[in-house]
Amino acid sequence: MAKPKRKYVCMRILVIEDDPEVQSYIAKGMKEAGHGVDTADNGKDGLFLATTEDYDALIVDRMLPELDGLTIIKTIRGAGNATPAIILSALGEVDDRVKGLRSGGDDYLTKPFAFAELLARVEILGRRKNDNLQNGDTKLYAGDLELDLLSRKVIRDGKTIDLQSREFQLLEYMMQNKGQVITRTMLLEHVWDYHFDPQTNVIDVHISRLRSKVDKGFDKAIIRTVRGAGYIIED
Amino acid sequence: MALVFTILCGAAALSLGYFINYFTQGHFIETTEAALDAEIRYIEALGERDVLPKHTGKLYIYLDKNAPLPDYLSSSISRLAEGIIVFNYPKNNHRYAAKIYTSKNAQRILVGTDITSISKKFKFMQWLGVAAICFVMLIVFAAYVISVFVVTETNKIADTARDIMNTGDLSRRLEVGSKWDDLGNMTIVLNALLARVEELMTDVRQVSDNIAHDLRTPLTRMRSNIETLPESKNKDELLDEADHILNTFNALLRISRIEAEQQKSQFAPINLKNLLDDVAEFYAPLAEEKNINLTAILSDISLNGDRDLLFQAYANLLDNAIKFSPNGGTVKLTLTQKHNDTLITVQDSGVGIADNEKNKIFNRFYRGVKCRSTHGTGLGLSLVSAVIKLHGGTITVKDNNPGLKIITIL
Repeated sequence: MAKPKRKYVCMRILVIEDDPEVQSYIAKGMKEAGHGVDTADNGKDGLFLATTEDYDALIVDRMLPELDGLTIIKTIRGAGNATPAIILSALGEVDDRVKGLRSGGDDYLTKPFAFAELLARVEILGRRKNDNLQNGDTKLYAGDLELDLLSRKVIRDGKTIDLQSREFQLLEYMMQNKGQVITRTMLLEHVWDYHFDPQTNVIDVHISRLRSKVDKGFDKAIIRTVRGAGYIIED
Repeated sequence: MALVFTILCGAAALSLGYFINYFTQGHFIETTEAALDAEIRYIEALGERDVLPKHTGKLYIYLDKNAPLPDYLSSSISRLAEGIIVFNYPKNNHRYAAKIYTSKNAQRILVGTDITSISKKFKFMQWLGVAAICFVMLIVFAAYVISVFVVTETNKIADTARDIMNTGDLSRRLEVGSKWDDLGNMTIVLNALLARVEELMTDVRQVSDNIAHDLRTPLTRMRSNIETLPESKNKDELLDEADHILNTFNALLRISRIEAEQQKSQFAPINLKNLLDDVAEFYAPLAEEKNINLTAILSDISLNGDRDLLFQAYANLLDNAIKFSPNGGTVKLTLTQKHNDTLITVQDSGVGIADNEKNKIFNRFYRGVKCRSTHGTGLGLSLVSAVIKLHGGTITVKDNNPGLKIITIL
């Protein structure tokens, strides 16, 4: 697996998943990405670990023996525990997603998923818990690229770059999550705000247009493609 | 309906009553007149003998020339028909009908016949007629009350059934008004039917959820196993293949669930113009790459709907339109209001489809002859159709010459 260079944040993650293969696959991948992982294969043990230990993120399967995923999240939220939680589910309908998020989940991922997608989402959730510093900033930086949230101007190397509003939103979202892999689905959900499944890879076309404005004529590419996962913006 | 029925029944009852009355009265007058005429002819036949017959029940009174009727008669006199009078004869207190006969020697004779029993019968008949009318009116009234009851009850059942169909809320039941009548019985049976349907739907959902869970989990495993393989061209192909299977599978489950559940929980007021603007904007770069002229002419219209599903539907349509239009072609998206309908059309300048294929393109896995070779699952339009149906709309396909015009009405 091609591992992009990431801003290194070591997280402690709890995986509650009853399918041993999926569980070991997630655990193995997370460990390779440098995170600490605990596992539980049923709802009861999972809830026990989640309430007694301190984690940076929870990965919870929706259908679990003994206690289902939504109940676990509801229970810990009821106890005032705000650890970011991502729900894994074979049920992909909007209804299910809404139910999942209402019960206190922070993100919802439908099985099957690419590991890169899960990793990208977990790292963004974990980071959100650690630093909310960016909230007050009105300017975002990546290398010599500067994005002004107030004047909505983008400047690279002293030159102003004209962007359409959607292109600006794309760049803004990726710069806000600088150093994190952003998947295509995440772009759809956050930049376009629709949960849907494009038949063709239109996102790639949008990115390539953005690239032609931001990176063309410069030595170093700001927006990089991460094979099999998505895109990343680095300094 | 009930009212028309009542009016008709009432009219029938009245005409029947009138007919009985008219017929009996006519018959009564006719027979009386005939009896009197027979008596007069008899007197005529007797001639100038000045002898009057002594038939029972008959009355003969000599009247003075040009004199009015005697007082004891004129006090209770009334006219029955032309030339016939009716009076009470005080001597025996019977009722007589009479005619005045003038003989050849100008002698005026009042010839009467006793109608006491007949008129009693006639009165009885009249009374019977009125009673019959009253009974019929009573029946009509009862019928009206019953029909109003039945109509309101059946309408209530129909309304609830339509509600259940529209909302897809199978947990709802019909209201059982009463247990003793046939309608109540029908409601109970229909409720049992609804319960059965709900049970079956739950089973279907359970099965598809189980399929989803039990099949997708191993597929996830397979995909992740492929992901851990060392980089190679084969690996990418395998991943693509696995993703394709999974996409098909997901799309199929999604369509079934939209169709089966009629889930409208995500319905909210949405601005269709903004949504279609977003769709057009999303596909603009793709159209630009193929030098396709993509235009969107949209009126400001809002409606109740599921924004994610509608976005998906029109994204699929636009995706197809761009995919099947040649380089330098045109694709047009329009949104207009016509009467109470919201019309959304997607037009392209591609190869179009043959007439005999037009109905089939919404079938699952159907792929037109001309597009077998292109990439896709064959489920895109089935999903569109399911989404449009969920919103209570229709979808039709027409020739755009060249190309295709897909009209959706919400």
